[in-house]
Amino acid sequence: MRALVLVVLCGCGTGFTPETLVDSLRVLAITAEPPEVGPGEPSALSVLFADPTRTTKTTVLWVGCEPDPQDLGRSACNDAAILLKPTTITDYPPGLQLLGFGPSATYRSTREVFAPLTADNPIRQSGSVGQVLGLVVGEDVDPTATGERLRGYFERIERKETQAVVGLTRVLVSEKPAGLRNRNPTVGRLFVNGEEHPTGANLLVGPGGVLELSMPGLTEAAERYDEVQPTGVVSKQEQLVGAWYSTVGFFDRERFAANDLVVTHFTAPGEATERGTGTIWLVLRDERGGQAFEAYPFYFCDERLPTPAADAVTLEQDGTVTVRGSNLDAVADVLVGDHALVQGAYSSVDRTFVGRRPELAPGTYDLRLRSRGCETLRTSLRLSL
Amino acid sequence: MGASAQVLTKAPTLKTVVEPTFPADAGIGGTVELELELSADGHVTNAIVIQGVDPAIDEAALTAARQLTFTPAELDGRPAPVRLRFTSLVMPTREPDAGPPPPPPAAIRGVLLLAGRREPIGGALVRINGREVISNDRGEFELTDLEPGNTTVQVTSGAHERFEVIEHLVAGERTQVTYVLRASGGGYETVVRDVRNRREVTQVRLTKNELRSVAGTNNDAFRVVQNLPGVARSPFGGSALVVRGSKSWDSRIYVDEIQIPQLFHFAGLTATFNSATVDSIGFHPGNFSADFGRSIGGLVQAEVRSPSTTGMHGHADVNLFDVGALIEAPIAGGWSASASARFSLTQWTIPLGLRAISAGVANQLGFTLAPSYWDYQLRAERKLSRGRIFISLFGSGDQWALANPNPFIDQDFEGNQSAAGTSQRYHRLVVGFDHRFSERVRLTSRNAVGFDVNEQSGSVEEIFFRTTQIPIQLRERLGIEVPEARLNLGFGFDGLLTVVAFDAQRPPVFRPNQLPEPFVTRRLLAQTERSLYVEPGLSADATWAPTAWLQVRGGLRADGELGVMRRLWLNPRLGVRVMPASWLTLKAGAGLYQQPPDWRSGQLSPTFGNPGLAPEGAWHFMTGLEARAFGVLELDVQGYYKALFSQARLSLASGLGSDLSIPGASSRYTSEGYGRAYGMEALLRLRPTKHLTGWVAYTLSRFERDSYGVPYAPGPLDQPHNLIIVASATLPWGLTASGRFRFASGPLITPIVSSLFDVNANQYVPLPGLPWSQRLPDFTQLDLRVDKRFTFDAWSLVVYVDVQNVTNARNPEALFYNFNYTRSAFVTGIPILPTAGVRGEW
Repeated sequence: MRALVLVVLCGCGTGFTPETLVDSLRVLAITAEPPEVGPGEPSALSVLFADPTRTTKTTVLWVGCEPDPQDLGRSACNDAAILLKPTTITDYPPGLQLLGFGPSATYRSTREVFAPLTADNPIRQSGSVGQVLGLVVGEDVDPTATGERLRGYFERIERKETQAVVGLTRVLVSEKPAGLRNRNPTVGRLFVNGEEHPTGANLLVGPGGVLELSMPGLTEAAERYDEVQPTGVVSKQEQLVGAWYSTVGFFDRERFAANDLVVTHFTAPGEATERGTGTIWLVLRDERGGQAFEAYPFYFCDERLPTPAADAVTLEQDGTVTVRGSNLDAVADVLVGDHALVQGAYSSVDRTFVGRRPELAPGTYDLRLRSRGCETLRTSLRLSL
Repeated sequence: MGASAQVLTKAPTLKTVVEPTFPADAGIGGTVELELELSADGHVTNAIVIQGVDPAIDEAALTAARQLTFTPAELDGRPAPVRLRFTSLVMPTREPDAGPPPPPPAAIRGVLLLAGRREPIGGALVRINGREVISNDRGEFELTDLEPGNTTVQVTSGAHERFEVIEHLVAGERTQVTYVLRASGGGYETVVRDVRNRREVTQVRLTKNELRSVAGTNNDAFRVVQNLPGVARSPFGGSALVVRGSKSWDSRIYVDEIQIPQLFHFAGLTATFNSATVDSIGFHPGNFSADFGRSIGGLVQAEVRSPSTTGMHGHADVNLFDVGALIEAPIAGGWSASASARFSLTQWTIPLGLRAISAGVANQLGFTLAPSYWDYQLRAERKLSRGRIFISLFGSGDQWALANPNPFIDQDFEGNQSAAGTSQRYHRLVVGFDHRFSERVRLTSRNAVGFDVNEQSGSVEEIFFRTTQIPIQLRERLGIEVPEARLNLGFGFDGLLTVVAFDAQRPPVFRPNQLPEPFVTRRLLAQTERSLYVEPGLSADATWAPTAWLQVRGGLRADGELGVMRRLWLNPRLGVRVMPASWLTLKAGAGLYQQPPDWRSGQLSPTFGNPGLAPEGAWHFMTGLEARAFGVLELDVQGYYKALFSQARLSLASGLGSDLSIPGASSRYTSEGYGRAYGMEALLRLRPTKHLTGWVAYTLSRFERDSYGVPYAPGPLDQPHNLIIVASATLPWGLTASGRFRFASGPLITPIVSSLFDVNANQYVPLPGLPWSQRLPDFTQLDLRVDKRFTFDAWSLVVYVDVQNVTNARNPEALFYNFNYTRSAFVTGIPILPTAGVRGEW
């Protein structure tokens, strides 16, 4: 215990950057949809990664491994000796396969994964994990590359000539009935400073400002499930853990037990970034492999900008919404009810603010502007959907 | 037996007084401090001057001292050679004065008592006007026919401060006095270097004087062992006893020859057995004789002292870490008894200290159950005409838990507050019996039954590990002396029967090449096992000393484990000591040592381990020399080589994908581990003198283990250099000062060469390079301690201050990393750490 005391005493003063600060190429999450599948069934993989400093292209390589039928985790994707030598992957050790290139891929085990087991073996129900590696490589990898050319990429990664980060996730393969399998959690409505944040809207924070972030309703979102333990079947409820990340600034907690009471404070840096923007991410995880994530771009408040005004709004057949007015380059979001225009942006060509209609029930909604000066401005405009 | 400590059961008292002849022209005389070596029959065999006056007076004192005779000292009830301090007063003889007729004579009768304890002092020399008398065993003395008037009374005794007082003797009357003498720093010391008793080739035995007040040890005698050659420095001042690089399971701890499962309370703060009751500690880093087995590392043997037979005594002690008390007294029927207990204060002082330093630190550490410990020792002993019998009951408990800041199993979750805790308790009931059947045949019997509980909980409630053990140990040893053949024979039975209830539930053990899966409860294995580990041991050894300069000790030991492993093994051992000169001994030894794999941790478990494992083995080889110089300096130098074989080790997961495949990988453990340890140990020791004691210990130690295809990679506790200088000085005014300086090679770590992000666990998983292949900077530390004793007639008070790391050296003990292992910084060890305590003795 003295050792622990000393670790704490001596380890807490060093100024490492916090885990939440994404200032280099990072994998933040990999989702498998669904996170639990039957033998031979597909699971769609997607990765959340970020590299605020890079301008070169990045490529995602996907590698998957067949589950260990004995559920002892024996797999090339789980073998430190192989992970230390990425070129080994191109030797295709037994059970390993290249799943593809790009931001998404599909994982699928063999249908016979549990064939070595007897029909009543409990592992068939509790399942075994298939490991998946998502390699985010800092160069443009030719998806048609094979053989020596493909090995060349891995050799550069192994020699650290090419920047690469690796994320490891697991897809649970079981013979459970579909209704009893794990599902990914859902990111709920974000509350900022105690108020519900408009869906799809940017966050606004002044230099050095603090945002109180919370997400009620997650407790109810946690699933109940049965877990087979040596003492019998135990009924449990998932525990969801949230983790915050951002390109600048810091959080007062890096992760939180997802319940209604937890409030996380985000403190923006004292000076705005050069572009006046940044991104906050939230990743939700259950303890069974389910994940979900959401990005929240933000603007630094700039009170020097002029106050925008809207005097007309149109809705096209294809769902495009165009707002006309003055000083619209100072608009962060156009709100339709409590939703922001999707992918809303200022068009310098015709000095309009253009976006797509949000997912709202048919009806007529008030139109408001959220300025980059951190004001919410009412307008006399209404939009009928 | 030579390996065990002997108890001074009777102090020698002066039988024949011989006055020094005052040399002509020698000035005014003075007091000469001598050290005498007494033979078993009480004759002076050697005398040296410790502190002299001038050569002529010193020689006079030596000449007289060599003619003194004493009553024989007794060790364990048998006459034995001892070494003692003696103060010789060399003064001019008074010329008789002519004058008026003398007045009626006066007389004085008195008793001498030890200050602070009120024990009678026998064997002290009382001198009044050139007349002398020796106090008896009850401390009484009487002189008659003394000159009336003011006269100086001088009392000298080897183990006590010189006492002087002016008494007014009244003509025709007997004056009754009681003198209270203070103990000096010296005292009797058991002669453990006697070649007839010294049969081990590798052994260091520390006596009470050396165990006392070593800086940086919290006054704990067992921690002093960590300052001897062969013992590596334990990181963070921790509790590991690393002997020649071995893992802790390889070394055994014995109290009164009964094995105990745990040497130190948590973090090594203090030993689980109160060292205030310990008489001496022996340490064998290797090459021990066939008396002991089931160990391929080293041995620590503590001998418990007999309770007081002279009166009620005790002490109470309180410091920052614990509070304890001891009481001992003679009781009815020739029995004497002692009782001691200690309770930790750490459950309050550590959280308080952490909060005082930083609330953030306390929160980060996350104690949910503050660390606490306790121990107790009860003992009753009776001296018999041909030996002794004793019954002792002792035990210890440790308990702590912390909320593990597991990134996924977040402590904010309800139900995780009891995460990662441990509770260890042990108890031993011992019956010991020593008996001499005749002058040649003696029996040493130690029998014990114990009750041990070890509980560990994981980061969630479903993961736990509990064992309950009932060890029954029987150690019977028959010693036979055959002086005609210059032979000592020993035959022993050393049986250990352990009933084990093992109850565990945890995920499968992750192999060294596997990344841990975060879904810890999804795949749990459970085992409820009732096992019986049967470890019989038979030993036979002989010590043959055909000449005065040669001693050979050979032995054979049969051990085994018949309950689970069903294996037996034979271990031959040999040691030779050659004494070409009285001050020099050359020595060498070789032996085979084997032990069962660590079944306490489940290595033999059918669910988590491998019941088919072979016994772990080691060949020990050593050679060296011992030398004495100037009567007080001893040098012990030895080189050693230890070859390890059949070591239990985790198998790699070859499975579906790994390119690493070793034979037997389908088992969880194999016996294919091997390794070697080699090095040199040197101990330069100043035997305790009146004012000074200490030693310099240097260890050159290398330890190498196989590492899955890499032969002889550095082992985790490879520590090439370890230098320790310990000194303790007895100063005037009841002050004792001690210091300890340590220099050691930096600890080894496994470098992290890469990492990957486990998105399920929300943490980066380090990918390690070659295990233990990076060494951190060297370690240096200076500790100081001062004890101040206030002695009153009936009791004494000791106040002490112990300051560890006086220079506040920032010693790297480990590396800690940022979240993705791309940056690192040193974790440094104990900063300057002053502790204080108060102890009352009576």
